[in-house]
Amino acid sequence: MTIRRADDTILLEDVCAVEDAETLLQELQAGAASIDWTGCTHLHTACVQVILTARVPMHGPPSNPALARWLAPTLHPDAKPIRRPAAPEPETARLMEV
Amino acid sequence: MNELLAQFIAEARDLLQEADEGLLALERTPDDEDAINALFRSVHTLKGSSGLFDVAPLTQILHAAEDIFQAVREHGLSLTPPMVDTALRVFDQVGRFINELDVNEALTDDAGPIARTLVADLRNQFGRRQGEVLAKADAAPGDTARDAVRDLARWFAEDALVAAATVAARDGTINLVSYRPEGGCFFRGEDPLHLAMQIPRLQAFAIEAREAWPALSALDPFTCNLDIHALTTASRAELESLFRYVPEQLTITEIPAPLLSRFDARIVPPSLPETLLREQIDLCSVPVPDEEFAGRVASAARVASNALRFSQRPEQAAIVEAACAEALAARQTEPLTAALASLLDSEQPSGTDPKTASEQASETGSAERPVAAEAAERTPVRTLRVDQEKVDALMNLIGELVVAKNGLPFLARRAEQQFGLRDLSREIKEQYGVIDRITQELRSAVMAVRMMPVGQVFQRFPRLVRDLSRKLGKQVHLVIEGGDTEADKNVVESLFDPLLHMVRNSLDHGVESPDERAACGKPATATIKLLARNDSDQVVIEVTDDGRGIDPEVIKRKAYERGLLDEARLAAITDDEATMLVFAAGFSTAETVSDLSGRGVGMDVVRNTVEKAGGRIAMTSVKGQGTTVRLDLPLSMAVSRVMTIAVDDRLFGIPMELIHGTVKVPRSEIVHIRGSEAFVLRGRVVPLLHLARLLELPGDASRTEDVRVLVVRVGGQTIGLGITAFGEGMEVILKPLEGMLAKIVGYTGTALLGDGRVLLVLDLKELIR
Repeated sequence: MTIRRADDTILLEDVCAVEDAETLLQELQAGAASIDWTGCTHLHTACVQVILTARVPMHGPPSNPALARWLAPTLHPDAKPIRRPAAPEPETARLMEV
Repeated sequence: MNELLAQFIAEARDLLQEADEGLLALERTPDDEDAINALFRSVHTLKGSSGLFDVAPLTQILHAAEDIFQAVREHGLSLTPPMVDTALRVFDQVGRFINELDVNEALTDDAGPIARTLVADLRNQFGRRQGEVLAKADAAPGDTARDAVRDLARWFAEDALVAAATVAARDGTINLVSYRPEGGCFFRGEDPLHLAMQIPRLQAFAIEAREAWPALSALDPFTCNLDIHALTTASRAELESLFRYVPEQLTITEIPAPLLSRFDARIVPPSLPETLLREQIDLCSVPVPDEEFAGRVASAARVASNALRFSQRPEQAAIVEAACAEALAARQTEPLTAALASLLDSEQPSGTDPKTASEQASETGSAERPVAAEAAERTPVRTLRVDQEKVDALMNLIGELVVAKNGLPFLARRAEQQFGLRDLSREIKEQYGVIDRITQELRSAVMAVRMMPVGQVFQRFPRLVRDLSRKLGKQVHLVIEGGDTEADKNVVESLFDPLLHMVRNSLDHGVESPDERAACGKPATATIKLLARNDSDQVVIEVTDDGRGIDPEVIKRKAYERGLLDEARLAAITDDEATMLVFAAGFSTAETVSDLSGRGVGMDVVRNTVEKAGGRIAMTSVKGQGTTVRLDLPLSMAVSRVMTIAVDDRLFGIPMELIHGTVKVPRSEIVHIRGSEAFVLRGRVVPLLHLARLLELPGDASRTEDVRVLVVRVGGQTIGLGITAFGEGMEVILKPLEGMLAKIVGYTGTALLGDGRVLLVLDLKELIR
């Protein structure tokens, strides 16, 4: 089993394939409060979408270094996952007050 | 409000209007190069200026629109009506954003999601075809790279960009891979993230939601909503081989190292003006066809000089404008690009502080200052934006001057009659003549300031007619003539509502469906004409359609059914008068009420608005051939023309536009019908009312042999008003009754006469009712 519920936490292990997205979504809707993906080696895009929508705390890093490097910054909510357009630069802000 | 923002808002509205027009022109004639160039220019300039403010959602939409119109321009993508609908929706939203800025000086919180949805719509509508076209268009790497760099900071983390910039500096270039998987790709067994992470020598990686994430319960995890962006030093060939199954979803942009250098940690992020200047240099260096040259240069110069002016560097803005003029004269972009480059260079050593840059310039002195000064002389400010209240205050003062001036003839008369000073009297009259002339010139000068072309109102109609005719399934060609006819701002602004009703009526009731038209032997496309022209001191506006026209018999029957006519009038009424019944309150011929018109409120609103503005309305129609509605409006609302009349020894004013004529009726010819009186005028029976009785004044005018009758037209009816004496026509500044007096009905206002007396101007419509 690649998706397992332990108390409040969902454990992602080994390969999480496209069909696991549904299970993941159900567990999150059932009130799971965090996700532990330390054991994850592959995470399908569909699962990533569920995680991005749910925005629950993630425990990591995953065992696959590529996931840890490229996906972890986006999936860990404190890392400001999806960047908004850049804030106005300080200089412009100052000029606008003039 | 901050002045820069105010200026941006005013300019944005103009540009948006231009863009609207360009788009509609383009829809009519898809090959119109001027239209697409104008469209692209407006959107480009607007986007450039919006970048100076904290309005990211607005800039985003405009950016997406710019991309698309560029594709249209460069690759001959032809527009379909749904595409135009989407683009117009985008412009509407931009307009709403601008309004929000105007009111709150900021966008509302939902602006972000709204913008994202629209951008997604826009991309979906144009996306597939544009994508194909763009994939083939690797010809202009500078252009796309420049656009891509702008988005980098949004997608990637700062440190990743710095790292990538370092790598790029070593290798010369770096590739930006943008991968847009299809929504249904999961069902074909694709895993886009997995694929993207296979990119060799990955430098930075970002995923972006295409549309805002829904609530968890509404999420469809099996529809791909992600875009993936990556920076890599892998070659194009390597990338194409990796993504060989999904080439159409991939965009590879080569980004030259210098473009990335700004992300290098040692260099402070460039200021916005600097970024904009660079963009304009890039824009100018792309080859441009001859006919487009002037527009391109002007647009680039405008963005650059605005950027400089907004960042408190007007002297540099002047340099840019001078260089633009030079470039236009030489028909070469070099003078402009050189000027921009030198401005950027002069900025580099001193960092981005504008003060130091200009101080330096003044210290190093001779080279730059004179150029700036000279440039400022060569391009003086040509227009002023003045608060309307200031002009109104001026107009009021002139009104008072007119009244004071009109006192002089009375003074002259007194000098002669009371003091016997003929010479002095004559001299006062001469002086009066001079003051009178100057006053009139002064008045026309101020009125000219308030004048604005009627076209400002007309230009909203092409869009409206297009939308409505599409909705109604009718084919309509709108012709606008005389848009440069000028009238007072208040008059022009009061025109929109009546015109809107009239055009809607024409579209809904007048114009037939294409089939019906074909059956009558008319061309399937109907024509609606908006025409404006000057006619002495009036503006004439006509709305003409070639639709089914109005059948007077139907109007008569309907009016009778609705109790607007009694049987006697039904028999006597002429066809023309019947047509005018359309303007009566509560009248509608439409069998069904549509959401456009047909509730019977339209045309009487039109008449009221027009009459309130001191105008007249008339309608002529030929059954089966069409209808013309004609509005006669005064050029200016500030001055009203009235005729003075006397009832016994009291003086009153009657608005000139109501007066049909003056006659003397021998008392013997007045017919008494029960309690009311009437007389025969040119073979028609006209009811006669005595003004003294209407005003409840003592005394009766029944002593004289003849009754002086003022024939007026009020509410489509001809009425005779019995008075004591006719006075003269004059121009007055009408002041509405205020305070306690405002409740008194029957008077439109008061005016001061030259001898200090107050003239009461009557509201005949109220009095006769």
